[in-house]
Amino acid sequence: MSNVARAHRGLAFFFLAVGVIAFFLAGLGAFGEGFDAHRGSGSLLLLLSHVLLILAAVGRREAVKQSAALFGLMIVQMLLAITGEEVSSVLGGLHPVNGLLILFVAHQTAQALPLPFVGGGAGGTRTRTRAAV
Amino acid sequence: MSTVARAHRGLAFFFLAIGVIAFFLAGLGAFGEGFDAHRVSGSLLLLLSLVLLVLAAIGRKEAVKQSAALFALMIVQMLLAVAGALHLHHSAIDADAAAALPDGLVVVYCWGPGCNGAQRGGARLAAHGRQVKEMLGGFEYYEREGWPVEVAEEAAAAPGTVRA
Repeated sequence: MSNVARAHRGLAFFFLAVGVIAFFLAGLGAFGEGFDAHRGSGSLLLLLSHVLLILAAVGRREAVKQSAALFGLMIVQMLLAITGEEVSSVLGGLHPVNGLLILFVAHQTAQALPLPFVGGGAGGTRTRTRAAV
Repeated sequence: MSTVARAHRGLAFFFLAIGVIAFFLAGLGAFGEGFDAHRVSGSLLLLLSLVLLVLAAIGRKEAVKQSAALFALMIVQMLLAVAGALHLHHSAIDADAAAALPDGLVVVYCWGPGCNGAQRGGARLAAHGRQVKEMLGGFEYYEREGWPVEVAEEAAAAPGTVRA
């Protein structure tokens, strides 16, 4: 594994840890402590997802799809937070659900494992595994 | 797989679905719709986890440990949610909520970088006819100034955990 690939893997696990902390900070916000810290963690995660995508493109090709999905989901996450405030709280309700999805994709990114909802390698891997069983 | 085991498996997936919905409902609450629906989903999940434990004990022995862990975690979850706090988002303060508070002056406070929860909550209470004053500096500076505070019995028994 190259240095870039190792950096990508390490950063993806760091992303996962910050993601869990972001959930904790959202809980703090819901119990009256304000959402500023949660927003700060969200901005950090968006930045990290961008760096992860670049690192994957440079030196960990097998994790490019996952990194791109993670970056895309982070963009959606920010949009859900903004539109939840300004357009509809239903969109805000999807914010934590998308957060769960982000944690899952971050895990798949760190391990360079396939995404079950993306065509190609993911579906094929699962099919092969089941066929073997 | 026995009928009970199938029921356990199906109910566990149902639990998972309700869990995701509970996240959605928490999000709704955080964005101003109130947390009542989230609380109901939490109660349902607690009940489901108990049923899962019973079903596992009866007919799916290989899932008893997991079901017991799930039930224990749900208990912890409920305790974390109700540990002395009543959360009411400022947007959910309606006439009924304003009237439910004890008679007289209402003092609102918060303290933190960028926190305007007290102002928002106070404005809602005032809009519903309550007399409101804001305590600048929040509880932290009230206590630092040496003003008297009431301490809950359990907090008094554990020095260092002061609760207003």
